[in-house]
Amino acid sequence: MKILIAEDDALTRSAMEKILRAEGYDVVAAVDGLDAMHCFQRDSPDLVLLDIMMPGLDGYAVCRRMRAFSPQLPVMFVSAKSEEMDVAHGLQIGGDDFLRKPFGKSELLARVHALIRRSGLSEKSNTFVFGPWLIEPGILCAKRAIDNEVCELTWRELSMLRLLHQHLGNVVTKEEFIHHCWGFEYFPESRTLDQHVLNLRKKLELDPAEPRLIRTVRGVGYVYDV
Amino acid sequence: MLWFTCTIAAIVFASAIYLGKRERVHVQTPSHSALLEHRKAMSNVLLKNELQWDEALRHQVQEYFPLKEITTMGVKNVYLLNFHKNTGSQDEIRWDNEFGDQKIIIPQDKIQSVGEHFVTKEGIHCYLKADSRDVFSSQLFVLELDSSFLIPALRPILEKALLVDSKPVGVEDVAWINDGNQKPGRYQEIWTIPSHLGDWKLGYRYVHERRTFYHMPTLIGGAALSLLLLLSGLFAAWHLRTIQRRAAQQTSFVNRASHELRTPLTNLLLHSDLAKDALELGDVKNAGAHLQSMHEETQRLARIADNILTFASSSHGKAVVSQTQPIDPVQVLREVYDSFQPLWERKNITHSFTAPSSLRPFTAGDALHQMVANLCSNVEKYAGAGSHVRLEISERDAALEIVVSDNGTPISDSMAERIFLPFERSDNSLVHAVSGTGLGLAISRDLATQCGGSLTLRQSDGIKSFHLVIPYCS
Repeated sequence: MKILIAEDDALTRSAMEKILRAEGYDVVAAVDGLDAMHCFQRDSPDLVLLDIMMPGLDGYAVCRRMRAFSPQLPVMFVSAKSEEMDVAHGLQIGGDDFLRKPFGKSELLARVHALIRRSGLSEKSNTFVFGPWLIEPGILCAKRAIDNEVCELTWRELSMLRLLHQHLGNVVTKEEFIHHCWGFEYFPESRTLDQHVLNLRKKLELDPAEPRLIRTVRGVGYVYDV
Repeated sequence: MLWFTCTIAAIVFASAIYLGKRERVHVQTPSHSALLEHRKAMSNVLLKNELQWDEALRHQVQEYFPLKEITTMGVKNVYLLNFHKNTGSQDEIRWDNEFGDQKIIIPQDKIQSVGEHFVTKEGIHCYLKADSRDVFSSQLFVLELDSSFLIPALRPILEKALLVDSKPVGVEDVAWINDGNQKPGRYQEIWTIPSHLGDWKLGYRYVHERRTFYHMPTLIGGAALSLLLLLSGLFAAWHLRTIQRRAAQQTSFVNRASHELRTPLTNLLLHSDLAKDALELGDVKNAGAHLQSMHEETQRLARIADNILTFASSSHGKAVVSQTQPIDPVQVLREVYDSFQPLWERKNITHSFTAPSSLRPFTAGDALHQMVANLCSNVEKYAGAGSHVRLEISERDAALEIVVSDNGTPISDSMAERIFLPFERSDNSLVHAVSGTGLGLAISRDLATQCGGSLTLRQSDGIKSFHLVIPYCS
C-alpha cells in the first residue's frame, strides 16, 4: 500500500516516513503542496497524509484538487492548526480524518490503520493467509479457520508476518527483518528480533517449542513455509 | 454598546424635550380707550337697530331674521349659524306662532362660515359671530341674544338646529376662550342695552393664542445628560474596542504560539519514539541522529519560548536586554550559525559565514543571540529551497554591524516596514503558508532599539538583507 506524505517540515516528514516504512508501507514524501500534486499524479497513492500550512499550495487546496481526480481516496490532514474551525473545514472539503499535532508514533499508526480499515483498503489488499491463520491487518488480528480462534497482533508482528508471507519459502534474514520492520540497521547483539519471533510463535504455533510456521535458519534468519 | 448608549441618550433627550415643553395662553386684551370707543360705536349701532329689530318682528316681515337687521349694524357681515343645515330645506326656518306660519329665509350667500353656539339650561344663547375686524381692530366681539328675546315658538327650531353641530369651530391661530368648556357668562360684558324685547348685551371675549415654549433648564439639563451619556458611550465603546483588539491579539498570539510549539513538539515525540526503537535494536548511529533532531527541536522550542517571554516582558514595559559577561560577538554568531546549519541544509539552503577571527567583547550577548537567531530563523522559514544565506559580522564606527542576507523570496515595498510590527507578516502567499508567531522581527528590532542600535531591511538586485547595528557603548 502506497502512502503519500505531504509535509513541509523536514524533521516531521522524515520521522513519519520512517515510521510508516517500518510498518511495511510504501511511502512517497512531498515537501510542499505542488510537489504533493506531482507525486499524487505520478504515484497514485492509496492514502494521503496532508499538512495544511505548506508553501506553494496549502493542504486544503491540495485536498480539493485530489478529490476532483479521486473522490474515494482516503485523505488525512496532519496539522498544527488545531482549532475546531480548522478541523471542521478540513473535514468539510473532503478530508477523512484530522490528526492534530503534536502526536506520537502510536497515534499516527493507529489513525492510519483506522483510516485504512474504514476505507476498506485492508479488505481489498491486505488480508492474507498465513498457514491456518487468516491475517487481517485492518483489525490487527489473526483468525484460525478451523476453530475460529482469534489472536491479536501488534503492528510490528503484523509487519513481520507480512514480510515472511511475501518471502514464502525463502529465508528472510535478520538484517532484512530489522531494515523492513524497524527501519534500522541490524546489530547482531540485539535480541529484539528474537524476542518478537518468540512472541509470534506463542500466538500462532500449535507448539511454540516445535515451530512449524516460522522456522529458524540458524545463523541466517527465519523462513515461513507451508 | 454604542448603539445602546446612543439610544439611551436619545431617550433622555426626548424625555427632556417632553418634560420641558410648556404652553402659555397669550391673551390679547384691548386697551381701555379702545373698549370705550368700541362701546360707543356698538351702542350706536344697537340703539339704532333695536328699533329695526322690533319693527321687523312686529310686522312679521318675511325677510331673513336677524341677518338683515344685524347686517345693518354697520358690521360687515353677520352670520346666523347652521340654520341652513338643520332645517327641512337649506335656506329656511319655519315656525308657527300667533302670527301664523312664518319662516325665515336665509340667503345662501349670507351663510359663509360656522361660528360658536351652545345651549344652557336657562335657554338658548345664540352667539352671532360678527366679523368686525374692520371696526374693532383685531378684537372679535360677540353679541349675545338673550333667551328671553326669543319667541317660544322659535325656540325648539333653534334648539334643534343649534344642538346638532355643537362643536365649536375655531379660527386659525386664534381660539376662542369659550371653547366649549367655558360657561357662556364668562365673557366680559361691556354694556347692556335694555329693550322691551329683551336685553342687548355687548361683550367681548379675549382672543388668545397658545404659545409653546421650552423650559430651558430642563432642556439644557437633558441635553447635557444626553451628551454625557453619549460621550460615556463613545469612550466605553472605544475602550471596549481597544480591549477587544488586545484580546484578539492575545488570542491570536496564543494561537500562533501554540501552533508554533506544536510542530517541534511533534518532532520531539516522533524522534524520541524512533530513538527508542533504534536503541532497542542497538542502532546507536540512528539513535544519535534522532537525538540530534530532538536537540535541534529543543533549541527551536527554546527560541520560541524566548520570543514569547521577551514579547510578554516588552508588552509590560519591562526592559528585556540584560547585561551578561562580556563575550566575543563572533563567538555568539558562530554558535547561532552552527545551530542553523542543519536546518538550512535540510531545506537545501546554502550558507556562508564571514567574520573576523574575533572582535571586542560585547555585554549584551543574550540579546545579540536572540536577534541573530530570529533573523536566521526567518531565512530558514521563508528563503525557500535553493537560496543562499550569508551571515556577516564586522565592527564599524564603534558599533557591531551584522548582516543576514539571502536571495530568496523578496518582501514587497508596502510590507518592508510593516514586517517589523508585532503579528505582521509579509503578504506573500508563501509566507502565509508557513507557520510563525509574527513576533521575531518585532522583537529583534525592539531589542536593537533598546541596545541603542537599529535593525533595517534593505533590498537590491534580488538580495534582501537585514542590517543589525549595535553600538558597543550599549
